[in-house]
Amino acid sequence: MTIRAAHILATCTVAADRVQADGASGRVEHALAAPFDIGSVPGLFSMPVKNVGRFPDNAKATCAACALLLRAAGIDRGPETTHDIAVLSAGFEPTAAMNAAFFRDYVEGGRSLGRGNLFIYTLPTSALAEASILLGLTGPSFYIEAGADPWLELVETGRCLVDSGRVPQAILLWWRDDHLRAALVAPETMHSPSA
Amino acid sequence: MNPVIAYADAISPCGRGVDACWSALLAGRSAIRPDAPWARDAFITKNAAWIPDVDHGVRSRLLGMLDPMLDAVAETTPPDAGLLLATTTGEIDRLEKHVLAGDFDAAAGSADPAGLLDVVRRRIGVEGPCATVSAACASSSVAVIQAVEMIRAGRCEAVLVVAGDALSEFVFAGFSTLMALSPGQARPFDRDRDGLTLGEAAAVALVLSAERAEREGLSPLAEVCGWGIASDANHMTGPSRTGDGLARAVQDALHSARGAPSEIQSVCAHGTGTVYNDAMEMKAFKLVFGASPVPVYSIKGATGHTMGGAGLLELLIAIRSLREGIVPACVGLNTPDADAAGWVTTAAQEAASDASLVLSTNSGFGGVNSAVILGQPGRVS
Repeated sequence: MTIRAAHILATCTVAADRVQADGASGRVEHALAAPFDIGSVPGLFSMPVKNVGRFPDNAKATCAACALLLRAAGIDRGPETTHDIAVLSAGFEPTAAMNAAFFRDYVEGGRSLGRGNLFIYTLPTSALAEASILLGLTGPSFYIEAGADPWLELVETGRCLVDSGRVPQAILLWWRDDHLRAALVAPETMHSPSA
Repeated sequence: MNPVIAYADAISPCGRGVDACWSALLAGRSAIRPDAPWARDAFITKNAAWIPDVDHGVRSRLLGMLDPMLDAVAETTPPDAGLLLATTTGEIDRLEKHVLAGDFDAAAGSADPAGLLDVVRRRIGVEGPCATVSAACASSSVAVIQAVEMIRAGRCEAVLVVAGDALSEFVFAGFSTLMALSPGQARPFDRDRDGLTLGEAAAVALVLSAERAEREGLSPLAEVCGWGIASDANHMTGPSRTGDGLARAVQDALHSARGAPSEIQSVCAHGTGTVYNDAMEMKAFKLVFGASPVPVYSIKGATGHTMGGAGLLELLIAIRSLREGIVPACVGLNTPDADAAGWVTTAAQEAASDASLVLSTNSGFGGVNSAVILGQPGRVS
């Protein structure tokens, strides 16, 4: 009998002024000159990322975190490469702020027309979608937030996805207090002591 | 044994209960009407499908929609059940009120779905794991999938899924801005379709392990036999032009159901009525089913696009189709698009007797695709 459990391949944090990641390929640390200026991180993306500068901060952070995790875990990030990797997130603050920004802008504009480039970020999964598009992540992608312990719920959900063989890896992202905490998990096979 | 759905309820613009929606579909009756109170003159249309007589005495329109269903489902839901709330914009009318009053500080956190989750949790009285789930317009089908996985992983034996989204000026303004709305009425899979029509709905479903359903004395409505979720990784608002993301979700669902394409009796498609969504879906279905057409229908010509509530409402209609052995017509469809001809249903029809599964699919902003396969209780795969 074997028990499969999640194995953490890489971890990272992305804040306004710095990024940091750890994994089998080593540690990456980089100070950001401007808030969430992720385009300045050397070698972070293997493709042109000119549009990223227009993303809201949490989408920038999400793209950076996913790219850092793949790099730290030694996973190929070529421009034509896709990965069957799940992307799950928690943390409602960026969505709440974008919802308020979109509707305030619409009201102050005379309640006739909103801005599409604000509206598309009013979903909790918008940042995940940007990262999936940028990095070719084609696995399940959704937001799941448990009030009591959001990180534990993310880990449990990600563990279930990799443990059941649905996807080989899952990226977990938790936005809290203006920074993003993230991990890349994969299945790990270990022998039960009672086997 | 597969987890089962053993209790369900819904409210939609067609009326209270799954029966009301089912009857409207069989009658070819649409609940889309003019002069939605949230629409402004500058919007592309004022047409929408909304629920009349929602109690606004509660904290939000969405809770007002859910409220009539909560007491009954509380009686059926075991106290150790988990709870998943699926929504996209949740209680967005609370945020609207703050912004319109100029109280911007209070606005941001006022529509956090965690607040509604807590209200529902206390009303139902459950003590199991609770979470909000959001995956754009696939939110509630993804929540059902998550409920199934929580049960399979042994985290709990029962999970109540509560889903819905309410119409609002916020949503109307956003979809109008994106030029996604039909100036007239949604006509899914029609040659002349020109956009979606907004709607609203709420639904509940109790998902249990088959063993727990039996112990509770609950008769399953259907088994959740398989599921798949896949991302297009293609575009923020537009679907994949190839349909490969949805095709992968359906193929994963078939694989996990240990089912063959020939076992699918009918498909309750997302079918929004936009040119690109419906074309993408037909490409995906042809990738999966090849040259053997399977009856495909969408309910959005009757209910409008009910956003976060769509997945669960459509799943409950798919279950009804399975149990009745009838595939409903695609309401609003006049002339099938060339890609959809021979697949989409122009009139209600008897389901094929040699197929035993139904498929429900959803796709949403950001390229998320979900597929759920349902079967009669006790199906042997």
